[in-house]
Amino acid sequence: MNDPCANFKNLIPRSLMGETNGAEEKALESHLPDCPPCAAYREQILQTLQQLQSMNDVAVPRHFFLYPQANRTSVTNLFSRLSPAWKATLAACMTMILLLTGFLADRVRWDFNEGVLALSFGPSTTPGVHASYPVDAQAFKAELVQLVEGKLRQEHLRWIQAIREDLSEFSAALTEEQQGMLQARLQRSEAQVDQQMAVTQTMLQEQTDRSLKNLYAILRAERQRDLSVLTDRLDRMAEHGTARENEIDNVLATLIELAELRN
Amino acid sequence: MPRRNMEETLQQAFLGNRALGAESPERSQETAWVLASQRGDSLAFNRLVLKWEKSIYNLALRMLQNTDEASEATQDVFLSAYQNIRRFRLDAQFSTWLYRIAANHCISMLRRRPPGVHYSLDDHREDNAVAQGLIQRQSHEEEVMLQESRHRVRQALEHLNPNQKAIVELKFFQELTFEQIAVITETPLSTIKSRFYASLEQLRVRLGSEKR
Repeated sequence: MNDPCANFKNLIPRSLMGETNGAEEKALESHLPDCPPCAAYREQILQTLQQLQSMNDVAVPRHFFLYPQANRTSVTNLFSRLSPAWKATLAACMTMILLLTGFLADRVRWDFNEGVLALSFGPSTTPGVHASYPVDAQAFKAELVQLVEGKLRQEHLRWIQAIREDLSEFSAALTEEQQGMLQARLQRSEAQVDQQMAVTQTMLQEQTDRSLKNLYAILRAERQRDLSVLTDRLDRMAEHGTARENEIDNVLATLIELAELRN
Repeated sequence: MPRRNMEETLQQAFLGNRALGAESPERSQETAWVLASQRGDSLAFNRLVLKWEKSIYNLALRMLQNTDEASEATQDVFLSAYQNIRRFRLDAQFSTWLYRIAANHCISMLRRRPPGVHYSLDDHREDNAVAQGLIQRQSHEEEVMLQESRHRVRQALEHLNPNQKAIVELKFFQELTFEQIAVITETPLSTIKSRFYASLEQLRVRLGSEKR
């Protein structure tokens, strides 16, 4: 059942809010005196609006001013204020800078050696991995020793050559007699040196032989000692074995006797 | 009174009740402050704050029903307005733009609240009485009746949804037109009107039943 007052109930709040036109106002004015429910409804809406009006504005508890520190522009704020075109341009520039930095970083070489940091730029000239392979210390040492010995030998040869040259100059200044005497004296010195060297060699040989003999004797004695110990042990084991055998024989004999007695 | 066409209505909503081509001294002063604020003049912006802070604060207070949240929301609204002042077009009304920021902010805060939680300014009766700033000398009985009336209204408003609260606040307390509210909330005009009258009906029912 349609409510005949439904339209007027829609008009009443609009009328109170000033939203109706002249014709609607007139229709409402003529309906309300004859319709107590609509009049009561209007009264309720009016009271509602009056109660809403009791909600006065209150004073602010404080002012809401902005201070320069509160609105300092941040980088993100600046970026957010840019137009899309500028944002895209800035993003592309940053991307290119990052790519370039990465490319350059790849071509930079760092070397830290004995407390010194060295930077170099460009492609690597030595292919492969930076050397961390193990160094043959013994071969390196031998090589060094060889080099040093070679150098010393060369120096000694130069020194001997120089002495010979001096001697030859000296001997050239001497007379024939003096040269003969010098030659004889040198020969005697050489013979003495050779003799001394022979004696020394013999002594060394004898000492070596004696040392070897002593060493052999010591080794032999130790071996004999070990052999005797081993022999003693074996003898004891044999005795022990014999004793066990005797015991076993005795036990068997006893068992046999017992068996015979039982029979 | 004949109905105005939509174009003229919207123009009036944007430009206010002024003749086309003419600007009131107050409006021109506000425009000057806005221009200065767009150039970074914080002092000019604070003049705008001084002019509108009471309206925005009371809007937030009635919607949020909490003095602390209302203060926080008001400060956030003005901060947001200052940060985005360069985007404001001078052919629009500053108040409309500001109300939009405020309404959206309060609606967001209301939606973030846990469901079923209701706030009430009556929880701090003493603070409320001070904040009310009752200047007029009233009899004790009238004062009590007034307080009771406000209490009932607050309770009834609390049961509206955030969109309804915003529309009632802007229409009844800020005295904006439906067209302005439609622009602020970016909602069709017919939707705004139907929501407002539905809210009024809810308030009538709730206030009528509480009175009994």
